[in-house]
Amino acid sequence: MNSGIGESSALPHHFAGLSDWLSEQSGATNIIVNAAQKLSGGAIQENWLLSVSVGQAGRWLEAGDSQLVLRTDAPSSLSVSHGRHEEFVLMSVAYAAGVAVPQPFALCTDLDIIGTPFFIMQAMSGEGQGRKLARHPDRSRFGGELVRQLGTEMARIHAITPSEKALSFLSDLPVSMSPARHRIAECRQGLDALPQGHPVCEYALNWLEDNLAVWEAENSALTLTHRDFRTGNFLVNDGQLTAILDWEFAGWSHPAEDIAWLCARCWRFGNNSDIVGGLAGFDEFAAGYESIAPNSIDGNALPYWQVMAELRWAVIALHQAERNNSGAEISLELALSGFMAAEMEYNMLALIKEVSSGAGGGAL
Amino acid sequence: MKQTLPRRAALIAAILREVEDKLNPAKLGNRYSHAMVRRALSILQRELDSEVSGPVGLDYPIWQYFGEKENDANWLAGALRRRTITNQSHHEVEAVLTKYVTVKLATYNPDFLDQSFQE
Repeated sequence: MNSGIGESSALPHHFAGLSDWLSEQSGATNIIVNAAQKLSGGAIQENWLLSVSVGQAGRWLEAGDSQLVLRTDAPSSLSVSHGRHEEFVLMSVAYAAGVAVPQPFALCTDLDIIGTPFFIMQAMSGEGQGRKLARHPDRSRFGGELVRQLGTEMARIHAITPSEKALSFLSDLPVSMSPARHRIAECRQGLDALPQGHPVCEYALNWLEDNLAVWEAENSALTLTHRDFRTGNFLVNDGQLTAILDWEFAGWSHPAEDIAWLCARCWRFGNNSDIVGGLAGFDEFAAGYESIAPNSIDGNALPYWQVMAELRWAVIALHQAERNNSGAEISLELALSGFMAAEMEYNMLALIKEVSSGAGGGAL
Repeated sequence: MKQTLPRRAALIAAILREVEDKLNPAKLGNRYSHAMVRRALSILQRELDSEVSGPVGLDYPIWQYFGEKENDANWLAGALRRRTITNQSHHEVEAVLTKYVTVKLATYNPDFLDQSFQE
């Protein structure tokens, strides 16, 4: 999205067939794709900002010059992330539910068009880079209202339930297993696939397992969860939230998983006292969330899901490093990710110590 | 760490590719910043420095506590998974792990450690 311009804007050769396809899909005519700029961010997916000129308007393309975003797979997609078809459906459901997402316009699964599946969505304005947002000079002015908006939007996502037929493909959660148990199993599986042992992660997993009775919330209804709702995955324009991005990990879970992920220390970019994404405090977030879903935040579960958040990110980071270290994909960003895992390990141990000392009842 | 050599080779490969990309006019605007390359080089420098100062692995807090050099991070990870080592059997295991993480951070990310201790 508009989180920054990456590669040069000359139209890539494999985008040559886009104009005709856009015309077919939108009903607009005389479409010319003038330029395509790869947007920064997105190690797993690629986002391209398309500059198009349109002769005659169609269903979702106005006449004249406009911009669209094309989202497609990066060279190294993760098997755990949804494909573009599923992500398009997820965003369509969220958009219909009133969640602030870019309007998804059209999906293409035909590999003959650009070589990979992709979809076209509305181009949104705003800053997306987490570190820039957390260090914005006006953050103290807009942070409180921003996290209130984040709470409102997250509650809207969590109002979507498994009864939503369009999302029937989200069946990754075994019926007999709570989200908490499922995540523990996933993390252990992730660690097993690494060449080295990671004792801090193992210790934290045992601790989470030993305390399941506190946080697994077996009787709690499952809701749609974004599962990557954090600073860096939403756009902010002049202090206002404009769009929630990157739906590739969404699934059914306990709402506390999303809240804890947003509040995880690894996503505060150094602003550790501003619990919600390094932007502001928890009260503002809770006020926004509970304006949509009153009395629904499970404060007891949050510190446990925060430990899980650190764990999950550590395992992802270690896998990213392994992709570089194995030679599968040489990338400096991937190589450095592995060195960040120790930060998450530190956070896990600190959280465990705090909870064991009696802290809790809310995000830490 | 036993995997240091291949990891270091992979890191060097990634840095070289990054520098090459930065020097290639056709790839202007590459997403990785100079700051990132500097961080990678500083990590590499620390690894080389530690090699000069002696072949001491970063998991020494673990094998020092558990008595044998074979009892390293890999071993402890397995023992924790099998639950042959627990909080009940070894009350200090959490403290040992904290020391182990602190050594890793002091080596690779002292800024994070400084920031955490200031709070």
